[in-house]
Amino acid sequence: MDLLKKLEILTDSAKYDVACTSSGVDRPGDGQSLGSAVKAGICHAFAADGRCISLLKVLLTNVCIYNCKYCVNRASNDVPRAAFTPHELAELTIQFYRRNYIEGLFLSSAVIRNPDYTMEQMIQALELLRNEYRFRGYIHAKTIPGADPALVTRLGLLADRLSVNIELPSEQSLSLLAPNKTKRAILAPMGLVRDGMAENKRELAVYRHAPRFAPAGQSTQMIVGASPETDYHILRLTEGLYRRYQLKRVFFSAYIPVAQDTLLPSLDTKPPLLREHRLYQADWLLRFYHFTAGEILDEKNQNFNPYLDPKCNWAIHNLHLFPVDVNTCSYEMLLRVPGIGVKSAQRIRTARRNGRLGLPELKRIGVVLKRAQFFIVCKGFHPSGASRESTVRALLDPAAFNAGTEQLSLFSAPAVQQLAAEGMPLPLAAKTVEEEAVTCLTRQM
Amino acid sequence: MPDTSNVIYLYDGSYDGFLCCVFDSVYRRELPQDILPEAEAQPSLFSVRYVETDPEHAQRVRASIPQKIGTEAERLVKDVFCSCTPGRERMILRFLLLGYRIGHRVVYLAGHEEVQPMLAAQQFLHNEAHRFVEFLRFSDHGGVLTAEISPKSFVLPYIQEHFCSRYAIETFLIYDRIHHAALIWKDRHASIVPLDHFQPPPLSEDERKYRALWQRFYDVIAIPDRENPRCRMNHCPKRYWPDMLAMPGHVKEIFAESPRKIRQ
Repeated sequence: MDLLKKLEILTDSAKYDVACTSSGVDRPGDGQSLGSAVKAGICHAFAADGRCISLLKVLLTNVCIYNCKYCVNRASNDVPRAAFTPHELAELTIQFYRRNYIEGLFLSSAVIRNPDYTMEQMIQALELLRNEYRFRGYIHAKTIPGADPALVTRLGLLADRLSVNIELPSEQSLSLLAPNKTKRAILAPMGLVRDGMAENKRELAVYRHAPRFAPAGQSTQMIVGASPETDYHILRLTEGLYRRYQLKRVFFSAYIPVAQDTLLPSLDTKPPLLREHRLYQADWLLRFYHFTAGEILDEKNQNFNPYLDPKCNWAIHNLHLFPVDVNTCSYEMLLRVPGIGVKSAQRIRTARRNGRLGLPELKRIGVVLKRAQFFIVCKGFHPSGASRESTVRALLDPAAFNAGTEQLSLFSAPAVQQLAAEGMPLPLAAKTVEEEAVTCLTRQM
Repeated sequence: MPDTSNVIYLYDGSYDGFLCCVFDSVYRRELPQDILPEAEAQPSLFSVRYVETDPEHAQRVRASIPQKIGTEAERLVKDVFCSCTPGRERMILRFLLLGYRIGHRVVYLAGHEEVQPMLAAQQFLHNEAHRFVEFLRFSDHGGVLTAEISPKSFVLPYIQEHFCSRYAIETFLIYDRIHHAALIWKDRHASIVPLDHFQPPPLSEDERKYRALWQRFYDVIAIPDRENPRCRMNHCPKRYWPDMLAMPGHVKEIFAESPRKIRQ
């Protein structure tokens, strides 16, 4: 089989993996070998689906002994199978890297023979790349659940980032849809990587040339929409993973039907992209905005509001905390104002030490006054009792109402999609749902 | 700050030449209508004065910035000068005059009407430089890597460190067709030289092979059910596409529309 065909098959099998980040480690070139890594990560292209391409994301092989129901590579699926030799893979990575196509390699694999054998194959390929080709670029490697801990350690010394996919948000779903994987087999390597990193930190403190173990940390991903968990459940799980396993990132992937099965949503199900988007917004609130999962959702409201982003939703349910004075309030409170993001909050913090800020200054700093005006006090401005309705209107997320597109957008709220499917013209459907959302939210306030 | 006077300053286009304009403005106590490189000057109703580049004057202004306003302001001024933002010279002059008056805290006034445009221009430059770190594509010609770019700002000094550190063991050339300059890394030594014209040699068999592999990878990695052209354009604007390999179909499309628009 020629290389072009192999690359096609093994890329096609790897494309449903979400993570393609190259962040988390700063490693300038050493002048002797090829490559460097940048802490913030670098994207090198954007695919037709708008996702970034940072790493050469391929499987080592797509020959699999497992039969997970949601997966394209499951044993019972009739797809072409292929495998890279370590040499082919290393040469391809280096040649792409030299041309500035990629930031490094994301190596994953289907389970061939058994988890240990698969991991050994991956380690062999990475050893070739790191030791013989002396590649200093970024490597993200997937650990195979159920593999020997010693192999995980070896893999961690070669890769920058490790990941174990949690696959589904609960144990019941896992046992139903991925019968060969167990919660324990997934969480065990995660704990192993965490402990390895902690130990490595101590070693580095003693001897700074100690070999580094997974310097860019670990990440995971889970499929959303294939199983019945609520958003609150998923968010709690995410928060727990950040706290307990010190993950760098948790990725969500909207379920795209690839197989017909009675246990799965039907093949004509649309991927729940809006829900995925809301989960990422909430994930950002957890990581950069000092929110907790319990503030974003709770037992009574288990799912995200499709019409408002989670931060605006929190704000309209906590109106008693506003308005805040941007010139005196804490940084944490600034972050909670709709229309003020991390960058504007930081700029406000510096600028307000050198004089009081008014609306023109805030606008220049980059605050979105359309949303912020209902929640702030500043020099020469006090919100003058705007009606609840106009507040809600300013906060609604235009993406949910098909904004800016003539065709039905994948991000539209389910209600808009449903009305459009029933034959209502799209602009009218969007308008109807918007009015209904405004009425309903105003009443809730 | 002095009132605007009806005069336009012309200078030779160099950083030193611009510093001499600052010198003249301060010592003549006048704020010119505009400051332009002589190459861009057009006939106008205002009186025009050509400011000679005097190394001594330039040096005095250069030394005054870190001393009176701070090193951060110095970096900001240099960045904005490289950003090629229209009207940048007058923007910097007004910023410096404010800085001479109130001192080092001027760079922290992120919301000030004289300072914010400077910070925005600096951000534009850094963003554009980062885009080229992302989207620049090398071709291999028998061991020598070459790339061509069409940036709005003069980004070569800002991408130099990244590429020279990453490709330390390679030999490469990055040609900026807009500013007619090239960044050359050879024998572990970097230089930015003026270069009017650059014609890359024909593609080798090997280069074609890797381009085809990359093209295939790019096409296959996208998930068809999630296609989202708007999102792709937000992250990677079309003006970068002509020099990126993986989008030839689209490039032909845009070129058919307006070849000039992309190359400008």
